[in-house]
Amino acid sequence: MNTLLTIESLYVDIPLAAGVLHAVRDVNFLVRRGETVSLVGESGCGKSLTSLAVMDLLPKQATCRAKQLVFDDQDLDSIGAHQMADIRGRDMAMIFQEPMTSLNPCYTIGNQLMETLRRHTDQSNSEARDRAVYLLEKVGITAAASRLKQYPHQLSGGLRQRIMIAMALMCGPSLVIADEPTTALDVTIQAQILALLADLQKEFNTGMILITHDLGVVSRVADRVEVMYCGEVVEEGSVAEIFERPLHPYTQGLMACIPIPGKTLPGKHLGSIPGIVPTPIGDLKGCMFRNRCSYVMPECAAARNIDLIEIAPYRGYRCLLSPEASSQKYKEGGTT
Amino acid sequence: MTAALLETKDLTKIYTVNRGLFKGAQSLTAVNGINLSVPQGSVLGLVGESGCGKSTVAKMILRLEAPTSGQIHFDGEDVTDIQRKEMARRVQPVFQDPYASLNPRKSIDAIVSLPLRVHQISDRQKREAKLDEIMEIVGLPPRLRQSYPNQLSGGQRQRVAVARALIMRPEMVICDEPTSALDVSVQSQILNLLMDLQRQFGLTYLFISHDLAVVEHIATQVAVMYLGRIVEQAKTEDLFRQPRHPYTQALLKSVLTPEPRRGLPQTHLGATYPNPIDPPSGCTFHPRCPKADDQCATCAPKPTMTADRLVECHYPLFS
Amino acid sequence: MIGAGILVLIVVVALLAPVLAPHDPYQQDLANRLVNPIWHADGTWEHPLGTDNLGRDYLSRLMYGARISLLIGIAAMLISGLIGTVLGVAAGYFGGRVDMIISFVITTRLSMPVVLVALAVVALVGGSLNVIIWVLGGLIWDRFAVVMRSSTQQLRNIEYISSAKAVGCSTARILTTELLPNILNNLIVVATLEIAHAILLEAALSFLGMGVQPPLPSWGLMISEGKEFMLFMPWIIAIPGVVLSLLVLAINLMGDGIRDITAPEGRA
Repeated sequence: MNTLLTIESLYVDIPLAAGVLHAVRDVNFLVRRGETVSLVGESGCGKSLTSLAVMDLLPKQATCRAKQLVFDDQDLDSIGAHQMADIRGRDMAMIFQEPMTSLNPCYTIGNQLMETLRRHTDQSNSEARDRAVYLLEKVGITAAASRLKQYPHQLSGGLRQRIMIAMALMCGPSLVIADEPTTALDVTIQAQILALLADLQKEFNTGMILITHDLGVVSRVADRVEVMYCGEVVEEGSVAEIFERPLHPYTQGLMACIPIPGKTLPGKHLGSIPGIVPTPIGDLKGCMFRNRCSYVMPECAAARNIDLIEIAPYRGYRCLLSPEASSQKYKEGGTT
Repeated sequence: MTAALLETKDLTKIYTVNRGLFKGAQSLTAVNGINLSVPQGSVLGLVGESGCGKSTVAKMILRLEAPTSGQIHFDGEDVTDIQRKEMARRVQPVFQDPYASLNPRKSIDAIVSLPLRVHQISDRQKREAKLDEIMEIVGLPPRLRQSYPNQLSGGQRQRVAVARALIMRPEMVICDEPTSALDVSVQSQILNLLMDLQRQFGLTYLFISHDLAVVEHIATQVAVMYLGRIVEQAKTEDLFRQPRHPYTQALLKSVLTPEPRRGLPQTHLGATYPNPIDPPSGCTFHPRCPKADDQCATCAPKPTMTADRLVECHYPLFS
Repeated sequence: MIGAGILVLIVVVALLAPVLAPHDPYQQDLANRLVNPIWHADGTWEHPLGTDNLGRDYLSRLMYGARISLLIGIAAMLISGLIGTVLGVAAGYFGGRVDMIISFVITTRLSMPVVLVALAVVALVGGSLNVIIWVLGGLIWDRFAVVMRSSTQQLRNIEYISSAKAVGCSTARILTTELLPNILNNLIVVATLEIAHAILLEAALSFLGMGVQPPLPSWGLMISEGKEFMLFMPWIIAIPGVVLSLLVLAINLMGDGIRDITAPEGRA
């Protein structure tokens, strides 16, 4: 089967003092082998929680339910915690944002790399070490054998992130979830790390979920994009479709916000989205973007639920405007 | 050409770092002889990656750190001759972290009015008037005056920081990554605000950032820093159209603009960013430079000025 | 909450001791020495907790003893708090030489055994309520200093302090209006712990005879005076012992509670 991960109707709720926070609502997407799906959105949109739900690493108070959560033909909802722990690390790996704190400062690099492999397979110490050296070289770290003895604090951020990538690949997972893997890194290292991830993905045919808020990164690396806002997927499509013809007012707004050297006029106002993101607590009605949308209509508040309209396979958006009307308005005046 | 409001001459800052029990103290040159000149009413963008020293430059201008050597001149005067409080009236900062730049125990009112109280703008009424005025200018509803920082969003907090900086109508604002910690949609709001205020009040900005796209949009002049030195400085359009220093070229190539069909850039940068405690010999960029040769490894290049442009390289690129 | 409840009870009793105590705690009644408390066969309501070896009503002594414990605890806490906070904040904020000197002073103080030093001072100067308060206050400031120093160090370079400096605030203003309110919750927690610490130290000193002098009804002293009768009249030392433990427990619980309440608030 080519489809690695299928998520259908994922909901994550977190009970708070002020009410129930509906952090993730009705998220549907799938990831195929060799493909990069990007979850894009700003802080609080639920993209990280979605990936944590897939890995079953949600905070204790959070509750998660889904119509379908299938990984490699295994229903993740029905398997026990023990089995999930086996899958985590071996078949599904995660690369976190902060390379400074993701590695345990008390143990050597070699120790941490081999630990993953020894936990999931029966391989011996020397086999684990060979694999570690192999992967370190693959991620572009020179003198790999001597690095195994080093401690995290002796290495720079870029190197640590490469080691995180190597660690994620130790057991040859079929799915890699990268949560803002380059946000904490310098701009010149960013491109290298992303290129590395792309190369490794091609070589090992892994599927990847790339979570980020950086639209530039998404446009260069992803195959398909899920734009998230306030817990929902508001638009999805291939990367070309999303960037060349964004349909949802939020996506359009985001595109207008970004300064592009050579394209946006210096000194002129950048596009902006007025207002702030609402908190999805309690009873939710209507479109969550309506308080910031420049095309808002009375129906946007009245509708109970705004469904994701699929205009083509894997191409959809969540808005009451028709695709033609939306494109028209975008061409006319942008969303300032 | 308008007079320079801020000028630094050979500004240097060296820290002594303790390397542990057996390694003794070592010197870390964070800023190594910086010559800046910011004309009145302009925006100088200072770009560089982490560890290049740009924040240290800001701290020295704000008198939060004392330079090891070199001079800073503000409006023609050496800043050591200017009273601290006088400097504070004329130069103000806006910092990066909206969550750390406001005292969590003070109300917005207290935070924004602090400069007024410190500089003893007496009159209660006058203060109230100024507070209302500045809140409106930065786009915050007056009811937020009674709120506390934890009740505000990141963008609102940054507006409060801007309000506090501008309430005394300074001449210069040092913006140290003012939008880097904000969401994209909020970033553009704050950038628009900063641009409007600059025009409205004729402010001069030193805009420090690692985000080249933002700098290209707001700055009139750009200076690129690498390991404590300015390696290239030029008018914004010139720098972006024709970068001369290999590092600037690599930086510009690394900017990932949202263009789907372009793939990832090859920057040919080689090794990683060097440790400022142990800088490479000669030209500090040579280990990563695709064009380095023996001269670069042994001899540090001198800055060359050509028609409004400064480059510090043995082999600046002319394409 | 439980801690606060018990503490409030003890404080109220202490404050209202003159009203609540059935007898004068100093009044000796040699005819009625060592009367058993009411849970014994021959106890009376006249002396619900019995009397001590000089015929003084135990309940009254207990109530007045609460006053002494609380007074010493709070006073010593205030004195040590002032010393420790000033030293700690100075060391944390100014760093460099100042920090070196103050850290040396703290280390010196930490190497001294408090009880022995207190004993020595009292032996020289003579024991009394005042002496105990000042000696304890002058000795237990170390935790204040250490905690305040590390709290200040964490906040020293934070942006709102840098902004205040850039605005032109004087150092004194920054320390009092910007820094102090943000380390206050740590200060309060240490303060509650040190009240308990001071109370226990005073009890120990009084037990050794080098603290509060008789006839003051300090709980430690009561335990000391009762130790001869420990074997066949255990209530004489058990009662002040239990009450002392309860007070210290209450204070610690309250300190925990305060920490829990103030900590998340800072997290927005």
